[in-house]
Amino acid sequence: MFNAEAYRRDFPILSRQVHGQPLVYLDNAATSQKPQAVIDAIVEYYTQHNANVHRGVHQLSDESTTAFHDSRRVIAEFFGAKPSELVIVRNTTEAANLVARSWGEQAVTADDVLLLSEMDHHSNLVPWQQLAAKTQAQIMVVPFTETGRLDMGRLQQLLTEAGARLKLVALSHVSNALGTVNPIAEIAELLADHRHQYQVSTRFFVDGAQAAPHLPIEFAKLGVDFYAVSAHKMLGPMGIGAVLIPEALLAELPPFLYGGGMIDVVTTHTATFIDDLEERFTAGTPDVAGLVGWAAACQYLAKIGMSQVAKYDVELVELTIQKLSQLPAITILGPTKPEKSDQELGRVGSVSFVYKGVHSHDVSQILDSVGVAVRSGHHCTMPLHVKLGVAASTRASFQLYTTPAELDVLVTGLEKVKATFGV
Amino acid sequence: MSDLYPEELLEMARHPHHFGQMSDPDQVKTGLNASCGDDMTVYLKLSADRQQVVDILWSGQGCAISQAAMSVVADLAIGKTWAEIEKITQAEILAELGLSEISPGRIKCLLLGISTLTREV
Repeated sequence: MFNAEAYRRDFPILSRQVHGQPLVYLDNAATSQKPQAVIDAIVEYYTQHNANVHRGVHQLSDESTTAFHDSRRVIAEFFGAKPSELVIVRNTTEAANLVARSWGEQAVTADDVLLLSEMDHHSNLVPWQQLAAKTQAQIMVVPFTETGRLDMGRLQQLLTEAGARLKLVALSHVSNALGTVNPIAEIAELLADHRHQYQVSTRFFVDGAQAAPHLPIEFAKLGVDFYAVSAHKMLGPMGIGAVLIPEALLAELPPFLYGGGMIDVVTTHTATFIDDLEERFTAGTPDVAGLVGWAAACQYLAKIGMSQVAKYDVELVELTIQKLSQLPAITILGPTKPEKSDQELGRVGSVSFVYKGVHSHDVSQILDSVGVAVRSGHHCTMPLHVKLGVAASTRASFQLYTTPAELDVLVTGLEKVKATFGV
Repeated sequence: MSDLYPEELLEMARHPHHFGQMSDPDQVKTGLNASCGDDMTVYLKLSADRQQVVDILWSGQGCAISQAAMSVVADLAIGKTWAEIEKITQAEILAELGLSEISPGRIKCLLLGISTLTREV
């Protein structure tokens, strides 16, 4: 039995009130709340160990350097990766920009195809559009189906169409607007065949921002070239994230940012860069406190077990679909049942919906008045909303501290929408 | 009834003022709140010297606040000169909607209409 109520006590913010009502925080896909263990780890770092890492021959610098490397190891292990494969960035958006700049600008030419997805977040579209504009590469787009799944038939056609020109496939593991879990391992296999068949080095970039909080990730087994994550969506602090890159590929990439920490020898006019992969991609002072906090979040999640977290999340998603389906004014976006009866739902993290006749901002405002925090708008997925023919939607998204009782408060809030707007 | 949505506001959202498209406008202005998915098109009839707004029709889609606020703005602006329109305040719009304040997250909704109307073209 997954005890969300017990976990709630680890999150101090969950005991506060908004507008005189208990906070019902259902905006976790935007950012998650932080357990005391994460807050304490950051406070302890700054109160006990703060010093710049490396090359400071003094006690605090040694402690900080140890905390830096220990945290990197914990985070990498959490994702089934090696510490040397963990390139630290500020967030998933920066991860895509890093890959587009470091890998893309040297690897992509005007003959190439970048295969993007219609359901993806702007952060997994815009950096590639910019890369295409710079290199004159062609963009192709995989659509999603009426039920909110990636159109695998069309994906396979596009792979054939692009053939040897296919340089990149960029896709989210989990859609932030539809909740759809994309079959990453299956696509990675298709791409392995594609590389073999055409003798090319097509790369696979996966945005794992919405997957990492809800699914166990085994980077070594996924078969992807770049896997991006953000700490703040998985109970860690804001402003830190990573892109996981296999060692062999990372060794081929030029640095993304240049400056201190990542150099070998510098003269006034030239510089050579360090071979050590960890340091080559750590230009400037790293966010050690952020890493320490993120490592604490990984440890917190690992202790519960990501397979348990994943199982509970699917229960919440299914329960929300069931409750919202009973409200006639509501249309749920994305998959509401398994593709085949013997399959899993294939949806995690969130349920977005449209309230007929009431704009999502007004829905959210009424929900806020009863203490429920949700997100409204296009959730940085304009192409997806255009395809669905809706200007905006309301998204309820979950974490391991979300309870079924909170979903009842959501429904009560939606009844207030009806009372207010009369629809 | 929620005090976030006073009857004046709801009434105006349900029955917007000066809503529609103008067949022969002197000027058309468009506005967008990209993060909300709200859009606004304002059609204007101007005086011969183009200094006074003689008539307004508008169309668009968005939340109750942006839609109701545009109705208020149209009511307030018709017959006024651009100099007078520039002086319309946020407080005036709020008061017409029966509101005394607006949360930071909704200010852009409230001001979409007036910012579209006063946009330089």
